[in-house]
Amino acid sequence: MVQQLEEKRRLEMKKFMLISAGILIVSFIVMLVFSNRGLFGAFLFLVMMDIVAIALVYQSIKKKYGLAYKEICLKEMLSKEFDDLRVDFEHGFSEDQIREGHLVTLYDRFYSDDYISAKLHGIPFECSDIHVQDVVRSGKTTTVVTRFQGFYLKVPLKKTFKSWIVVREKEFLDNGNPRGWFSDMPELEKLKMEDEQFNQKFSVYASDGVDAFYLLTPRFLEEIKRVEACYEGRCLFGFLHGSLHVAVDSREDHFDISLFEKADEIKLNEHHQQIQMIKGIIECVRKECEEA
Amino acid sequence: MIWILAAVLAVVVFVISMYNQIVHLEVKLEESKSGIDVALAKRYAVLTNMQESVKGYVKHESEVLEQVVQLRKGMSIHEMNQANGELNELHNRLIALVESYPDLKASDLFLDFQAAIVDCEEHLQAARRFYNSNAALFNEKILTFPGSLFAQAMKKSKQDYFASETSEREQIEVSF
Repeated sequence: MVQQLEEKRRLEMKKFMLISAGILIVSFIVMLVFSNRGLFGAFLFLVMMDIVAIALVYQSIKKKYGLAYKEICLKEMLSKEFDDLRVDFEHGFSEDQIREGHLVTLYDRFYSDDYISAKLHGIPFECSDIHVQDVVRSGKTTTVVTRFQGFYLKVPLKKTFKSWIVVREKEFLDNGNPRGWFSDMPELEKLKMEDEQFNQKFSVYASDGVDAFYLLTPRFLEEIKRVEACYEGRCLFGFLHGSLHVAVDSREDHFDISLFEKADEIKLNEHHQQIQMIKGIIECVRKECEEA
Repeated sequence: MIWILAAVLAVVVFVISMYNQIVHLEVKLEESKSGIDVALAKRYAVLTNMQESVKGYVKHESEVLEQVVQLRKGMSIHEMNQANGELNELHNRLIALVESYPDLKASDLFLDFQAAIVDCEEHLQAARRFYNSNAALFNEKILTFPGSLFAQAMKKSKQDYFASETSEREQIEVSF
């Protein structure tokens, strides 16, 4: 199967090279025709158009190869680790689902893909990659800033609770309060846990203090610290609507593969590690989760 | 002149802010104390229900369950600690008694009670931790400078912590 995929990759690479070469040759001919007229501006415009066209072609071919890789290799890896597997590599959580979670602030652009729904030790979970971008316009320039890129996981909890609890890894110049001026979240109070090490790393906000201490048992605090230690990105945990939401801003798409990368042992191992990370989080919160 | 006015204004703002912080922490402490009240009442209700059910089952030994735990509104933390200790004792007596009745121990009624008790204890534990966290914040504020000066003027004193259940459990000796 990997061999089949490698053949597909080579074919797609050839296709990309040919299309790119075609674009460049056409541009070169156009340039030769108009070079004696001294249209430097048109020349620059043409170069930019070439770059855009080649990038678009690359994205489309890369997407095809990426999907083929996920359908052939990743799906098999996932089915070995999880039960009742359901995947949709082209789509993920909807913008509304993420907004409801109140963990990740949404800006101008939202993308989500690699949706996985499965069970581990009877515990159902859903996860997907999400990417949030902010388009900042200042005068003549427009900059696209990535505000969140990583994965989002939802697991139902055994304990029943009505309040909102958010645990956010502290960040420079961020007070950690998830409640903005126009938020529909209830009034949240900042809480201090008894674990000083935990308090240094995380801010806890809750609409009900007793509920927060009911869910965040000393054992759970240890598990949160363990999850945080496994990931390099910023970790956010939310206890909302009877579920645990985990968002990790790792600034990467977890199951992405470039057209220039082979689906070899190294790549498969890298993605195997990502699957183990998801398993790790669910294992950590296993005792608090609902078996179905 | 303007500097003197600015300094006086700064002092007034500081005094108001310190006063409000201490009052705010005290209100939060009272709120969290009521959380313990609720959790204790819930535990009391479950345990007394269980006591009544067990009494019906073990009529000839029911004298060991005659102990009555009293809960009332507005208890101090010390009294709450005491009441919780009594509830622990009652719980231990009930468990010890049920141990000698395998039918009762395996019954759905008893299993339901056990689940309800575990839930109550988890809520009580949460309420205790929440109260202790607020008590720690309050104590820190009124024992450190300059909060200590304000606390003296406002006649505020250090608050007791609600003892952990596990440490109390270890101290209880169950004897029939």
